[in-house]
Amino acid sequence: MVIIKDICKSFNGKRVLNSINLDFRDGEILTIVGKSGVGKSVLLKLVVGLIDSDSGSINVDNILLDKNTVYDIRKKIGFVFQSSALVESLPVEENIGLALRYIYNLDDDTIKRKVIEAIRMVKLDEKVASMYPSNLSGGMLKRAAIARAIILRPKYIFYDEPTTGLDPIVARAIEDLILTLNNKLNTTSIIVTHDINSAVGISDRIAMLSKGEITFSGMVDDFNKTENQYVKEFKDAYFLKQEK
Amino acid sequence: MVNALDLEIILMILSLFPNKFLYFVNNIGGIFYTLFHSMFKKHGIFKKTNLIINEVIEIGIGSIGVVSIASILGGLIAVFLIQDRLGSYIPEYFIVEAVAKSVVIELGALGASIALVGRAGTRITAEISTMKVSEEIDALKTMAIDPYDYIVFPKMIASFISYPILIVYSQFLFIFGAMIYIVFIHGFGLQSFLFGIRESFNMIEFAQSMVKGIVFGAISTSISCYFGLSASKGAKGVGEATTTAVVYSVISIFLADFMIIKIFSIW
Repeated sequence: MVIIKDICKSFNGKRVLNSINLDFRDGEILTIVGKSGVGKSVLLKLVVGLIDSDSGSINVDNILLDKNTVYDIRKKIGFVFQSSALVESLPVEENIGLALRYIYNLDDDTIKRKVIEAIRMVKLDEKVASMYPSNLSGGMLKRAAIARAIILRPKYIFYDEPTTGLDPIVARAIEDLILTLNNKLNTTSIIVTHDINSAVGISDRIAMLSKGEITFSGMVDDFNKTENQYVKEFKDAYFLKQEK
Repeated sequence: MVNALDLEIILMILSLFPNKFLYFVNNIGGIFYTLFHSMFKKHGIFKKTNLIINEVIEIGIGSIGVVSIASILGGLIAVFLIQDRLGSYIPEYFIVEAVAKSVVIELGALGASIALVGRAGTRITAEISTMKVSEEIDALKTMAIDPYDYIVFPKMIASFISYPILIVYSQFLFIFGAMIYIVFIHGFGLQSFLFGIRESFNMIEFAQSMVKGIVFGAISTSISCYFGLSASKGAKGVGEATTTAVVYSVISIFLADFMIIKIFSIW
């Protein structure tokens, strides 16, 4: 379980996150929704120690996140970036097996076997393994990034805007993949998105981040029924855009 | 020694540009951190053999062309200037010795290192800063891979190997360039030229150039990596990081050169 307590973060004097309290419960799919630039991705990056908080604490499975524990905590978390962030100079198979080679010192045969296993799990063609990221489509890049995130069988997988920039068919396929992996690997999935349809479709629980605070947190049914002002405003704006 | 008045003037000048001064101090700290953090931590050097070989190919072999051209032209220019200005006053034997001495002590190391900053240093900064702005560095961190270990360390080792070798290579080509002018254009005997080179060779001076190679390699690579890892603001940030890295590298190499010459002059 991840417990985020009283986390504050400012950039250039502007408060982005203001006393955030949130927990990620084991086995669930939690989606954090909110407008662009509201600090959703910042929150995920704080939990993996890519950004330091100004105050507050983060506990991952009862380990307090600090400079001494950050590498141990990162081994528990797989992170799928919005831009996929595959290393451009390496073929897909090298990208996926990177941590196995340099952190776990596994031999070539074991790495190859585990990489192929991960590639099959995310439903990528095995031919993609030898290709470079610059030759892949958006959907393939996302699948390769997910394969890299799951190769260590992490307890938590963080998805930063997993469907942004993808066409609706590919976006739906990625959502299905997230659901499948969550069940198959028994992981806790945290998704950051501004896509309400996606959030409602795959989540167990939804948290709404607005004006630097968690303004709503509840199960999907509660999210659908709530009269919360921030949720209503966000839904209205989202569906208005969809209609247009 | 700096007296109280000098110190007051220096502090007054610095206080006129507090942000620039803090930025400079911050960068110097960051460069030293990059150097020591990448070198003095537990590494599995053998599992990074492939990465190191790739970097030697990129930094060392990839720079042979520019070092060759710069060195041959440098040798031609050096001998032409000495011959043109002093040829009437000193015997040709001394011209050969003057060129050989200046190449071994100074020109070979400095010329090759500046060429390497332009070729390898810029590549390193551009590559790392592009990785930084496209979140590839963050992705490595989330996999518990330390970028100082995975990216900086192989480049540092490759520099320690490539810089001294390319400096020796550059010294040969400087002398070859000088030979083209003095033997084939000016008509000085080849035997006498080679005799002059042999007579001027000094092991301490050669060792000095090797020390410079290692120090210049460490300086250039740590600066290039530091500014790459500090890049931000997209494509503009990549350009800024690369330009700043070149400026810091060139100035630092000249400064280090002066200090090494001073230290060796004690012997």
